[in-house]
Amino acid sequence: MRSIRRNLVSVIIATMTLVSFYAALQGYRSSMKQANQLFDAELQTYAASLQMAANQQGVLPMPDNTTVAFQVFKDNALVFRSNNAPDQQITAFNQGFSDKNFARSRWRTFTQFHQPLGIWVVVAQRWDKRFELAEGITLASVYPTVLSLPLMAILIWLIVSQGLHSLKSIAKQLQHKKADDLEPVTINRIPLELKHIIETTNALFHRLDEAFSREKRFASDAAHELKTPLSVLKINAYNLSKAQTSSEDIALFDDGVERMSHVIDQILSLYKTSPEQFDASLEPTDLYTLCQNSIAQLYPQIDAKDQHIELHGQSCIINAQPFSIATLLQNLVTNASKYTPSQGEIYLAVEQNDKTVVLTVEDSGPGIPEQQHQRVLERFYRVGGDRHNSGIQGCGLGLSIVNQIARLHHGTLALSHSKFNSGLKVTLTLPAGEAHHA
Amino acid sequence: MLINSVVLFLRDALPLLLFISILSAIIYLRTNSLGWLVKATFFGVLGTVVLSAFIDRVSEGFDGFGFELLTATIHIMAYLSVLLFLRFNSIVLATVAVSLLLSVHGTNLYIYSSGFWSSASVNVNNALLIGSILGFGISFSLALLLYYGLSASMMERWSKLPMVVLALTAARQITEAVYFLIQADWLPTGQPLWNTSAWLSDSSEFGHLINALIGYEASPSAVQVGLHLLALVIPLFMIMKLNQQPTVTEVTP
Repeated sequence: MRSIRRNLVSVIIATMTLVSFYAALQGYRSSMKQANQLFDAELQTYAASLQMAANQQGVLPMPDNTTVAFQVFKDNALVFRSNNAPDQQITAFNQGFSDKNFARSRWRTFTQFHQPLGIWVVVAQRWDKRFELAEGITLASVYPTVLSLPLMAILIWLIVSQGLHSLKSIAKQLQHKKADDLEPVTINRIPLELKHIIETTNALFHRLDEAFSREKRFASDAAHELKTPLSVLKINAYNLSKAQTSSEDIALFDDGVERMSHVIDQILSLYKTSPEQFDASLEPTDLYTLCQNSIAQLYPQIDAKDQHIELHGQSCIINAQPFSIATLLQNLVTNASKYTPSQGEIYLAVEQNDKTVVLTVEDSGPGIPEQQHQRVLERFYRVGGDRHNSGIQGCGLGLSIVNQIARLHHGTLALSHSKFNSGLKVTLTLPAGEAHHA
Repeated sequence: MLINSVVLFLRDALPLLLFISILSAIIYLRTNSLGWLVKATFFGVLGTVVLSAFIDRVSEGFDGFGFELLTATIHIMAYLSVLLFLRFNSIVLATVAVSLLLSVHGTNLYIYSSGFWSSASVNVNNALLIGSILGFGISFSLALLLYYGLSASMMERWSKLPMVVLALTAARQITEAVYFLIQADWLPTGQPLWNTSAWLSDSSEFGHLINALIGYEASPSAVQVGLHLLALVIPLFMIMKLNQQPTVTEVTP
């Protein structure tokens, strides 16, 4: 398996080695060139200084470790030389530098004619010794580059390791996480590069945690809600089996089936509009038209209670999933009708503001105490509990479904007192959409 | 002396290390293992020891061109191993190719290094040591960067790039073989077709790098150019023809 640290360290060390070694090589070449120029200048100085020995004759003994030799000619005759120079002419009398072989070595020579004295001076320096000297000086500047490489490698290793510490810490936390541990991952001083990873991971953990909790609650609540109509059905079934049936028993049986069917429908609605199942493809939808359709669909129920319903407003476009919004409206209107007494009032209004569309549903029912406004949005919560004093069938999922759909459409839901003497006002605010142009 | 040892490594270690890095990038991504390289190194070092031990006898053969002809043969065998590797995707063939090239380049390094070191003073030895470190460091760094570059390219859309680079280095083996065959008078020297020394000298660091990768010659003859192109076209054609993700089979040599 590839390791980020190993790859990074290898690439950085390789790059630095390549650059520093190449630079050292170029530095070596440049230094050697300059050293050669220096040695050439030294030869010139040496040749110039030999005019002082214009009157000297014979052979000058030189130290054993000397690298230079010389010859002095007067009237084309060798008059003075070093003991390491041959007694034959080293090079032709051409002023300047040249390379010659003598005494089993390669030599750098410099020839100069001193006009006033009428002498030719030839000075020579052994190439190998000169090269060795130059290289010795130059190498001193290359050593630090080479010797510092291991230190540099260790430093790079430490720096990269330190730089990847946060990543390692996250990996360690994730590695040691238990299956049921959905606590967020935390590290000190989150680096910018890891910020999104940590945020996304923690958001995922949060959603998973919420989903698991919801599922747990949902299972127990659903079981509890289904148990009541099932018990009723069981008793009624028993009565029917004993042929002690009355029209009241059959009505109760019918009610039990109806209630169970309602609970299952609501559970299905809740499931379909859950964030995990929600199809996020929204389309421009006219909220006013949907309200009209919902009222028309539920009108028999409203009419049966002789209730008065009004719809105000105009066509307002929102970006929505029509099925979900229809479910939302059905729940709101059904709730309003259900809890409003006969001959009561139901009032719907759709208004467009600057960037939002506001739907209000008001009724003249008993309303909900303000301190319970938040609680009724929870699943299976009913005002007054199981023994709901309204005597109206329900499972406590209606407003929960409405709230869930509102959140999925980036909307907000608010409960308050209605404009009537009593009753509930539900205000749904959704972002305004753009009308679809064909 | 420092430059000599640097050049020695750029001439012999660099082509070998680049060749190894290309094959490693291709094989590692498929097998997640570099075990084959350990085997190749073992056989290559063994080959170097054997060849170095018998170098005198080898050199004396074929009218004094024994080593040149052996080197040319090994380069040709390495080229054929690469062709077979491209065709059959067998790691054994990659191991054979690396072992062969390590034997010949290792022997060259050994011969020249021992020659330099045995006849040098302490100062010169220091220069040789530093030069060897610089040469090896540059060669190894280039090979490592090439390895990571090709590994990255295989995971991106340039997945065929390592194969193409392998074809280029394979063709270089033929260029090397031709060079040694010309030295042994088995092939005609011929007039250079062009001379690009002024732009990129063979002896420059970059010249060595390009030579190690694609067999660059500043003044090649017609024979060199012709055989190089032929040696390049065959693996390229094979890569195009196969045009599928080959599966490497792990076979112990």
